[in-house]
Amino acid sequence: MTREASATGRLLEVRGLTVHLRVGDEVVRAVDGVDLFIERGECVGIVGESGSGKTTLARAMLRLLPPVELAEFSGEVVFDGREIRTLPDAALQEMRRQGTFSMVFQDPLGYLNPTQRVGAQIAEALPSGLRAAAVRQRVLELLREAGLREAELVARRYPHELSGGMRQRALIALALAPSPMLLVADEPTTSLDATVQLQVLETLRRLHRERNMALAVITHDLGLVAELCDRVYVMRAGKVVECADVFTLFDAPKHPYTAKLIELCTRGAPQPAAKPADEAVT
Amino acid sequence: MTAPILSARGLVQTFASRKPGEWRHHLVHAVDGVDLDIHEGEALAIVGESGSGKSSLARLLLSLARPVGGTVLYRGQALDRLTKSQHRAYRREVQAVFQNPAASLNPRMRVESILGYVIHRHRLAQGEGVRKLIAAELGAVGLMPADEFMQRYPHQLSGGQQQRVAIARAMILKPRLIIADEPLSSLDISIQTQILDLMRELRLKTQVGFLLISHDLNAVRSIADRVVVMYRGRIVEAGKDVLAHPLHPYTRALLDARLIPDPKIARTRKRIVLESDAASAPPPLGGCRFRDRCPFVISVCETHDPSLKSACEAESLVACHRVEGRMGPGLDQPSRPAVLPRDVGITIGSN
Repeated sequence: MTREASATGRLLEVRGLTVHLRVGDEVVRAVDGVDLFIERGECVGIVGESGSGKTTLARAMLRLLPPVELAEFSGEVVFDGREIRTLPDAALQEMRRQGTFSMVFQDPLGYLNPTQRVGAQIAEALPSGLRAAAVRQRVLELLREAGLREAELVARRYPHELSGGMRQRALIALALAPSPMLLVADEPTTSLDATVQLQVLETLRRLHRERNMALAVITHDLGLVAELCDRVYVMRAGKVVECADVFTLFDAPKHPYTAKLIELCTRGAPQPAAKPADEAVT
Repeated sequence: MTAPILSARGLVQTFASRKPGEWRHHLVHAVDGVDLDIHEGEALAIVGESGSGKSSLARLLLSLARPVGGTVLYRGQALDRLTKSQHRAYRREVQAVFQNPAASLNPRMRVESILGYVIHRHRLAQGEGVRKLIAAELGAVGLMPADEFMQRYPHQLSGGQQQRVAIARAMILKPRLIIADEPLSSLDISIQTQILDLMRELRLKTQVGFLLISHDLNAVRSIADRVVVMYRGRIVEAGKDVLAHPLHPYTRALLDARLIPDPKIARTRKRIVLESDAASAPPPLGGCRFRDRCPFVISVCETHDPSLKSACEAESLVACHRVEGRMGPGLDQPSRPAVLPRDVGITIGSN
């Protein structure tokens, strides 16, 4: 299936997605009938506090949940015109290899192989059939694209030898390897220092723009959403309570829960009047 | 004026570290000559990136680690010269609250025994009084009904409740200073506000001082009387007005790195985006330790290490050559285009 042929319609459409997880003897209704869509090249934020089901939703969308934990998994997940909830595993693997979607996680150390050099891990995710020199070339390009200037050095390192920000960038490079149409970033900057968080945020913004790649950012931080996203879904207890354009959401939140989240976030946050240089263009 | 409750004089702490791909160990100066006075009842905050030495400094002040150089003074007396009773007083008056409440509470002890242990250790009460004291303290940190919470194990509490127990354990000794190392960062945002409110309330009621270590500048701003900014083991700026009127370029970059929960401002503001991170690059030798990342660097920064001096108008101490009236043009004009992040321009129009 070529990308051009199917480049019509929405990139991702989720209808009535319900995910109930088995936790011990209990069943948790983690996602409870969620409708959501992502347009091509759009940046969408999914916001909620811990326990709101946002991560489970993201994983369910990409079929990353282990079947043994699932008590119920129903609804429709249509990615680029194909229903992927019921797709056989082999077809799903093929889709992943072709670079339809990738995911970046909060804790990069948990998702990088500790026994393998960073470069080798990225090489593994590249499309097969490349010559060794081309693979090396591509790995370095990806690392540079993710904002690691000393790409040669980083490619030879093991994950534990990198700082937190560099690890997150290595994970982003890995996610970019199959040239995805959608990158799902689950709390991509939460474990990072504020200054590094800003760097990673700028990198995501640049990648989103340069590659015309759709981006779904899952976070509890409304600041991150305000900086990055076009459209926002607010989740609470497994349900989407509000969905709006980012400017509308912050100007006039409809749901009281959204209003409360914004208020908590703005309390003590930098006020526009305190920093005149910030008001330059509006 | 009375002696500060806790002071640091020329504190130095080093760790051996190995660079990836190299066999030889080298010394990292986590704390590199810090002088600091903490007065009674004051709410002081230390901010900085990870690797700036804030936690190492806290551990030295708590006497959880021995400094390589310099001394910590408790009420004007060096820690290693305290008499037995003075040392007991130090251990009682200076308390700690840590980042991860689950790890700082014994998982096999009920809340009652966790707090009871402290009471026995310091002989605060006996018999019936023990339980009464525990109940009163749990009530003071908002854990009610106290009888029920006493019977719980740490894993039966939420993160916010665990942190409340940790605060109760510190408060039970009626301390004069609580050193809190990132007490908020493992908690949800709504819980963070509650814990901050609790700290404010305890301060009002008991005049206890706080040394708050945090990377969350918004939280710091809402509680601290005085702010100290650390970078690579040194204090680079200190004062009451630091967050409202930052003078040091590093402080400004830290403030600029905050995400603004307003899309209109977030997408149009100009800001300093620092390259690399403090932990990964080796510190430059000689001169100012911030110069490799500083967008305002001039030639004098390469050769002379700026000392912490009071800045002309504001009541702050700043370690920077380029602060107003010292050397070179003011800090409106960056000396290199590095103010722009290498990824995108700083001014981002609405897209």
